[in-house]
Amino acid sequence: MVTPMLSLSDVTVSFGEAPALSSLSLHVGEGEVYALLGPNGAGKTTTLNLILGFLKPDTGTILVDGVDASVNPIGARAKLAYLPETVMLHPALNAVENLQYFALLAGRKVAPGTARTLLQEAGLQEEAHDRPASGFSKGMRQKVGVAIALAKEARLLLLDEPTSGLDAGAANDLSDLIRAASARGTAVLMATHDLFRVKDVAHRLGILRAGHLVDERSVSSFGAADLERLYLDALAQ
Amino acid sequence: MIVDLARAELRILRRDRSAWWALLALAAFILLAFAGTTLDAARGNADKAAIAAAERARWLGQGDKDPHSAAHYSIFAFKPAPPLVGLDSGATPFVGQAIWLEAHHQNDLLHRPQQGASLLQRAGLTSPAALILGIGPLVVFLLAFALVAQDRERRTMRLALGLAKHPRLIVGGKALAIWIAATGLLVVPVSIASATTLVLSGAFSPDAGARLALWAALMATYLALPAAIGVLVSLRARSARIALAILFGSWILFGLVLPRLASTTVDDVRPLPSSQAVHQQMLEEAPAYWTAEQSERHKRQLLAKFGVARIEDIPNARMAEMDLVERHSHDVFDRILGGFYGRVAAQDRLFATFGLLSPTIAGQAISASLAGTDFSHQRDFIDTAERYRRDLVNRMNAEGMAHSAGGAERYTADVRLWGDIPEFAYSQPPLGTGMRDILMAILALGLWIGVAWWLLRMAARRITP
Repeated sequence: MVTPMLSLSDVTVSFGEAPALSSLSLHVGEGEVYALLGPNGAGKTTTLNLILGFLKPDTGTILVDGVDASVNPIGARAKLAYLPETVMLHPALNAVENLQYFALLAGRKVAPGTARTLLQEAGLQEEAHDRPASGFSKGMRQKVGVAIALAKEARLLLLDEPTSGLDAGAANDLSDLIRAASARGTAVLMATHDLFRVKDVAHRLGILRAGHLVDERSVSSFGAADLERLYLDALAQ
Repeated sequence: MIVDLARAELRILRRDRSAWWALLALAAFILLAFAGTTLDAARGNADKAAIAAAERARWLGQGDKDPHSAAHYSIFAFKPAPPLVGLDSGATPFVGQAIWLEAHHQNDLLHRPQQGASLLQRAGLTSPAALILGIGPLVVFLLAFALVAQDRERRTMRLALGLAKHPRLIVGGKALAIWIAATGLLVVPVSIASATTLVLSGAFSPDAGARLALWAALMATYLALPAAIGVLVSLRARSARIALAILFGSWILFGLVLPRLASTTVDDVRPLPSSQAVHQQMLEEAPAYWTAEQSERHKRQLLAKFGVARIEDIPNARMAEMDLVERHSHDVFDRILGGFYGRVAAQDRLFATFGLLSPTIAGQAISASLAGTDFSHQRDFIDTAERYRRDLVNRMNAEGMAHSAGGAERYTADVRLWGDIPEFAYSQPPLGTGMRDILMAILALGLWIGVAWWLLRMAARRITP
């Protein structure tokens, strides 16, 4: 049994009268890649915001490597690296400078050489390393974001729609990076619509619908076509 | 870590053209203002020195005459510009720089620099202190907007928050970078320019050095306040546009409205009599022989002083009467003008208290005091000049009284006596003069800094994307 790096137990949160999440429980262990599937408005980003401590749950507990995110959100965030759906870098800084800046925020001083290696590992071409981020495509920004997350060496990686807007090559590079992180023991929670990527990298998946976790299972037990049917069935119920 | 972050934030600021260029433009304006004010002061000092030398020559060359007539012939005294006037002209443009020292009268000061000021000078935009205290916060707010509010709007803050070891690093790095940029460009260059000017002009002294160091520290401390407020508002406002509106509104309120409101309130709460009224009162009360009763009382005083029964038995009765009249007027001047100046100082203290409402007011009061251009320093010049006048007139009268001259006879003195009178020389009083008048301002600024620091710490803990 893997050690839970992330643990949500019976988490409920409402925005006014409308419940956004109801009794959500999920656990992600060390080295495990967990895909959280669901249509827009299902509660995926709300779940991430709760883990990040940007929101407080009405009930339930959220533990990040044993730190309660609703009690000590700063301590919880220190344990994880978060990659939003759209990575917005400082447009005036180049890729290396952006990585160094965000790594500093994460408490790590990264030398330019190391920054270049991390960017290379994240799939950003060398000629882009010294270009201002204002001219970067979404995929390039995403790669810098991944490199920043790698630089933090966090034990939990939160990815919000990581492949959204990426071309096939970039998405494939990202899959490789997620697998590599997982192999190093990093737990990954990935909120996504991308069923193909889920089949490609995730160990387990959970399907959210209107704030309820309607299904949760291991990915290895079925094929890509089964996954799509399962997802559509779950949403149709 | 925080210094490395601040360095990175500075790089971001430098590449944000709009905010950085606004900062550079203000920095250039401040240096220009310093150069203009310093050159004006240097020219003024040279003129004053030349006229003072001519005055001295006129005094020495007045020929043989009755010493009391020499006391009426008298001399002009000039106030040299304070060494740090280029940093903060304070009250200098509005108060006289020269005074005619003569027997029986404590005259008004003449030649207010404002009388010959350019339009820009009249708008009050020629002092580095006025620019840093007045326009500085606006530019600092712009820096905070560029570094914080735009980060939030662009959603770079979300990425930063998701990665930061502690939000304090984000807030601290940004606030420190803004403060370093503002202080480094708005305060440091003009302070270096001022130090260089002091050394090159030979005006440097430990007192001037200490004043300059404290002035720079004051401005640096003051700029920390808009840096903290700018970051705070940009963090808490619901959108960048609202942040900008709040910051601009705050600048108008604290930098423009409240200082003017405070000034008006001070005038209403502690009004000053008109200078005409003060002079009329002195004219009415200074003459010793205005009434028959006063005349009789003073006559008795003179007879007792010289131990004689008749006025004619006093060796130089006319001079003795003049001396008595003069000394009587001193008490009147001290009472009337002293009271008037006391009321001006009370106004200054009340104005400084309004620093609790606006840090700009507190900054203005402390800066002028450190630069030696507030009213307490002007009062020191007035008192020094008046002491010189009294010494001179008393010496002239004493010389006359020491020599017998009855009826229409006059004792005359010559250049030997005139040369015995030292030249009028004035140097600025030591640092700390008038400190009582700005205590509330110092306290208020400290309070503002403390509250802003505490709020910023709280905001760092509750920061959201």
